[in-house]
Amino acid sequence: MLYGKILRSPHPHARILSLDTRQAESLPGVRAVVTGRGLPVPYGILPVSQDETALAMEKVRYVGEPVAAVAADTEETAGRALQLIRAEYDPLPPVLSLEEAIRGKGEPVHAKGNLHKAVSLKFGDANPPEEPEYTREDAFFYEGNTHLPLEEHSALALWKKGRLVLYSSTQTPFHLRKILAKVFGLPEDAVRVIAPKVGGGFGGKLDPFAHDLCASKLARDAGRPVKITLTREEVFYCHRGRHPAWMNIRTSWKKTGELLEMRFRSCLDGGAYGSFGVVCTYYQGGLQPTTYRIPSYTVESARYFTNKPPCGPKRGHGTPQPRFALEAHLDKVAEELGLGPVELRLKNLAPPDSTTVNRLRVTSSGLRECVEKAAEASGFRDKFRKLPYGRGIGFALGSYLCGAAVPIYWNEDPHSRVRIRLDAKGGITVFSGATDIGQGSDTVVVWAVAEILGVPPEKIRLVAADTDRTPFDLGTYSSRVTYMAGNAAREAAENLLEKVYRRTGGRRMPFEKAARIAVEKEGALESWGSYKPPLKPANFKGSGVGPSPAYSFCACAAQVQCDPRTGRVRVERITFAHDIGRAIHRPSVEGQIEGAVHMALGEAFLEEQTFHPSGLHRGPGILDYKFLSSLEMPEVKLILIESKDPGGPFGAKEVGQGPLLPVIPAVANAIYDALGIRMDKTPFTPENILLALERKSCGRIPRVGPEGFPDIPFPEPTHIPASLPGETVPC
Amino acid sequence: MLRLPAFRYFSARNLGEAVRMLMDLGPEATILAGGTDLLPKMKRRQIRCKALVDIRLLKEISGLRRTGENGGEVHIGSGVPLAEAASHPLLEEWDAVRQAAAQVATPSIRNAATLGGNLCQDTRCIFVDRSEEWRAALGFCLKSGDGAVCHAAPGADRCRAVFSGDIAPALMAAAARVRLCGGEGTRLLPIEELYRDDGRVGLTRKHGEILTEVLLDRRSCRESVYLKLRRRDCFDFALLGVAIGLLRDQAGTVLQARIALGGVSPVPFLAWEASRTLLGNPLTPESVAEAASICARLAKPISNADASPSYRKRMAAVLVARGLEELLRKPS
Repeated sequence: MLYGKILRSPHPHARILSLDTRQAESLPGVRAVVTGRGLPVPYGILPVSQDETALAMEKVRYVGEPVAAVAADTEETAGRALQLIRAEYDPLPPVLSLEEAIRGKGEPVHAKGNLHKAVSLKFGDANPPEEPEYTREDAFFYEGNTHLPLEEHSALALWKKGRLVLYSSTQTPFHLRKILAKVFGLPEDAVRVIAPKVGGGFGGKLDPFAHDLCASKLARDAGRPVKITLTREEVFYCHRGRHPAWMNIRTSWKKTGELLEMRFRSCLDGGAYGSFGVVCTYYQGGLQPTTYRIPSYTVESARYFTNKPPCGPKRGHGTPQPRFALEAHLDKVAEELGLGPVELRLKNLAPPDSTTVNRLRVTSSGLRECVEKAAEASGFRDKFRKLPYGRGIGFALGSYLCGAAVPIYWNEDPHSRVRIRLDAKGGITVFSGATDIGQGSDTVVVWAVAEILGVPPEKIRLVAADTDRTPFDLGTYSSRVTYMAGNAAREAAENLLEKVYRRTGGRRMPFEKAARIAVEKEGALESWGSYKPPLKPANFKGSGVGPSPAYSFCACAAQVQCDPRTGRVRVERITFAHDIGRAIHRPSVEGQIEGAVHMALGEAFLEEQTFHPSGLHRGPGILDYKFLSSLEMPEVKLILIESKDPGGPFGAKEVGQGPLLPVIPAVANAIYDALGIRMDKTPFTPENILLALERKSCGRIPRVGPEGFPDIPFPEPTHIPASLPGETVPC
Repeated sequence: MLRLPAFRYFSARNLGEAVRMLMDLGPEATILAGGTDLLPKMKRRQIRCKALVDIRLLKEISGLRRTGENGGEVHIGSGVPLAEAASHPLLEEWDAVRQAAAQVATPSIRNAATLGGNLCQDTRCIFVDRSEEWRAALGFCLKSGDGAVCHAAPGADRCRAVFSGDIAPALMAAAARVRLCGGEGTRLLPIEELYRDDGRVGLTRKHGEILTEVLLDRRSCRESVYLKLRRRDCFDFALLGVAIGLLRDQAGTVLQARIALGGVSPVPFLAWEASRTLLGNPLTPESVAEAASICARLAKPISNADASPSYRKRMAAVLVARGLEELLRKPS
């Protein structure tokens, strides 16, 4: 096996004048060297954003962008070879902020300009149903941050008789196969992708990456397997994490607290490439209506290119920023209307079995119960505005999809399939294409089968995430695995059960006994199950983002203790109620919620993917990139609400992403309750808390956050009325 | 993964051998103790050394012992792990030292890292403690490589990388002395003389000298406290470290006061001007406030650590006041 290493750009924005690899190639021990010319086919995870190449071609667009790769006998030799590559650049002025991207001076990041995507949609009533009695507008900023999985990305490629085999720490082996086939000009069945157990993803291992493609190319050129494992610093350059977002929200109300109208605007700092950015742009306005009834709803959102590592999907994918803005805004509205934050929310909850203003079908909803239980268990009503100065409590809601109803690459096939094989000796093997990235999807698939067959889970073997051996699965993203692969596993097990008992003449007996009889007669038995969301998206551009067969719901109360002298905040307790539909494996559900709280508190207080004016990442390492340690982790009181979704496997819904959402605004609202200051910008650093306190003490608006909203050339909004002519309601 | 560069490794069996090895190998040899500061810097190619002399087996630098009249002196071997220092019964009365040791990094690092290593740790800067590629992309600076610029303070002609160790200010507040052994014999010096105001090379220790022990004397300090400012409750280096040592009589009159600040300059230092305001009277809210505000004036951090300089400066007053208030609450 050879070791691969990648040479990366030291410039945020520069034209590549020349790349001379001759010296590197002649270094003893070097087996292959590749530059952009060797991998020229553009790709991207979304069909609409095929804007990347494995190695930069004419221009580099961020510090850390791959420009060449080397395979050598040892890692050391590969590293030395990189130093021998002569790269000449002509630096260009970099675009490093949203403001600079919008102003658009100098050469744009991409030839078409810095504006990547602008969407403008108006849903429901053209005007609010009644004359508004109160209107409020607020601006917010959400800082970018990254996934920080414990495992750095790694890829190992080898070629066997013209076929490419790639082991990669990916969340989506089947999508990666598609991209590899495209770039290498191979049919998809000439590529095999295997995702071993992945050490954390959180959305950061969804895109195809340069190291996947470079390892494959180097392995082919060298005729030997090549492995590339990234350093921690390189993981920060792969990024695809949370977009920095400048947001503005305006709502109109009746004095009694009924929401009449909402206008939500958002502007995303996308980094250098498209990634999932278009989807993220739509998600900015996508899920506000699953928690609240909004009669008239306008969404305008845009994404700009900048000379920084590309942003993409991170846990919550484009919804944590607007959720923060919405829930913090509601806290201010409630105060001004003289209503409790819980009461205001309860007045406007989206009901179960309904269609939202943006055409999303909500099935089961335990949202009301989540709100009531979280308020009660946290003692919210007794504590709110009653705790001593420095201590406070805040409340917020969240909601997330249980798998995107529309696949990334549009087709009519099932989103998940599961196959079960029953051996001659009665052994049960489940084949699932779903990828376990630590979230426990393997457990869910096995437990679903075990439950139907009535055998202990440990009797079941699982083969997962191998494009040669397992049936197709879209992969681990959009919180889809439990719902979709879980349903496919349940169906496959039911089909197996039926086959088995048909062969025993329907006699009642334990499955293991029946299985032996069935296999005696027929040899091995096999069954299949599949899942496809029973939905058609509505007929407008952008309608593919947001629909899901079901939605999870949650409510969070955060209690904090603030030190007004140092600006430090300690979260004392999180009370969290989550509508899981049904908990298939309770420890996994609890782990996901606690993990989400941990990640959310990191985003709220510490995490920043920010850049020096030179374009360099400020601290691409785990000492400098501050995340929450276990010592700052508060007690989390969990309440699981089981609303039993009619379409979910055994009634189950998602828990992987939704629980992150309400934590950040709940904390912001708690800080206001504690100190009377509004943190309208993440992270809530001690410096900013002291700054807001200073503003308060000298009579200024006691807040830290942006003002207004930038001037963006949005198109005229497309109006989607409450019901479309000739439209059949989905489901 | 970042790998260590190639180096020669020597394990010394006793102090004399260690000193000889260092002298024989010359300036490209470095002392290896816990390795928690050194090895990451070697991986990032910040320190280029061709040989490491491991002193972990040296008996001369291990353990703690009590000496002097009434056992009023404590000797701490420089090889004592921080975890041991944080909980050792002989240090029971030395609050600041224990508190400082307990707040270094993480439990696993405290098990490996030594007291001497913490005292001799390299200065830090957010423009220096980075990979070689990162530093090269920005341009090498006064401290990293052979550059002539300072990215933290453009225009500066000398390096102001910051000393972020926790133990040094705690020992300064306790009026501790350190012993250095080298080819030319041993030296005993006040802890503050171990440091010099130069971000590039912040130690007065000569090549071949090994810091062997720390001496504490109860006659110089009876009460002490250490407070640390950082983002999180573990893992992080001090953005500011405040150590206070006091000697008070039965009436509470302050006979000796030593306030030391770390994490705000290339050298941990004693804030004499603030300490003097406390002498001759019992602690009062007014004297506490005065000492605190003098410390904020004396702290002159620059933009080379995680938090803003103005915040760190402002927190000097808050932490000094808190430390003194804590001592005030305790019976003298």
